[in-house]
Amino acid sequence: MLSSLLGRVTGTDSCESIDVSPDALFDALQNSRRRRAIQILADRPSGKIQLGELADEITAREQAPSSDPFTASERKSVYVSLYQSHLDTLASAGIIRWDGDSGKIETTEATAKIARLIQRVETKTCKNPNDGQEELVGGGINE
Amino acid sequence: MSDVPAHDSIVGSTSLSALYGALQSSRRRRAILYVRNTATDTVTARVLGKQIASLEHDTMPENLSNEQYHRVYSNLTQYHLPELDEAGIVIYNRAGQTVEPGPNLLAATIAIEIMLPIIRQLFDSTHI
Repeated sequence: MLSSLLGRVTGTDSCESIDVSPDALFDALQNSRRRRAIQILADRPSGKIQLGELADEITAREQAPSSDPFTASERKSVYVSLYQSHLDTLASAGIIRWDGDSGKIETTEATAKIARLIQRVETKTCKNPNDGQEELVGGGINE
Repeated sequence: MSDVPAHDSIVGSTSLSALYGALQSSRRRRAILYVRNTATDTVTARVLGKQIASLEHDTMPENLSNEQYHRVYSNLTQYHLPELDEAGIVIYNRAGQTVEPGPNLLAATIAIEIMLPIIRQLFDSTHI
């Protein structure tokens, strides 16, 4: 089911997809805007969000330590990076579906699961997961 | 966790983004799991190359051709091991061609293990 769905998404690489696909998942997760987009979308009960709303949410979270409202240019930079790059990367990895013409973004069957796993990785690997420092656990060799 | 002895703690903090970036290659994921699971602290790049090449070719290390082994070995030593060293996941000694656990090895292993079920489910793959 999901693999056939992803097979369509990864398309031409199908003979090598077994190698390509897990790599694409980790590649998709290596950017904080993409990880936030997955979490924000997964939290929507409708399973849908518009590009503009997503840009608002991500900008607000990036500015969170400051109490000032975000500026139009901060929001525009997020909007453009989502539109030009991040949403395509997420869609290619099968994590979201999105339509560039209407700006509509939807969950796939993978979205909620990946959102939970991202959260678990953050909790388990960061010493202080909520302080934004992202310092990783270092348990030594035998822990 | 903040009270771990200095030699076990973080040298240079790697962000989550850098951690995921380090995991985006199958050869790097396999190297991480091999270094983590091996009984000895130090692994040679040669052994790592043989292990990863044999997984890729689904054969025993002794049955690999020189070319199969060397292709993986060169790619590891020239590219992937320096990347893992940069991310603090392993300590790569170029002169001795050896690899030791780095301060972020545990975090990298945890992240791979957490993601394994979704990889298996999404890609019908038992392979990491």
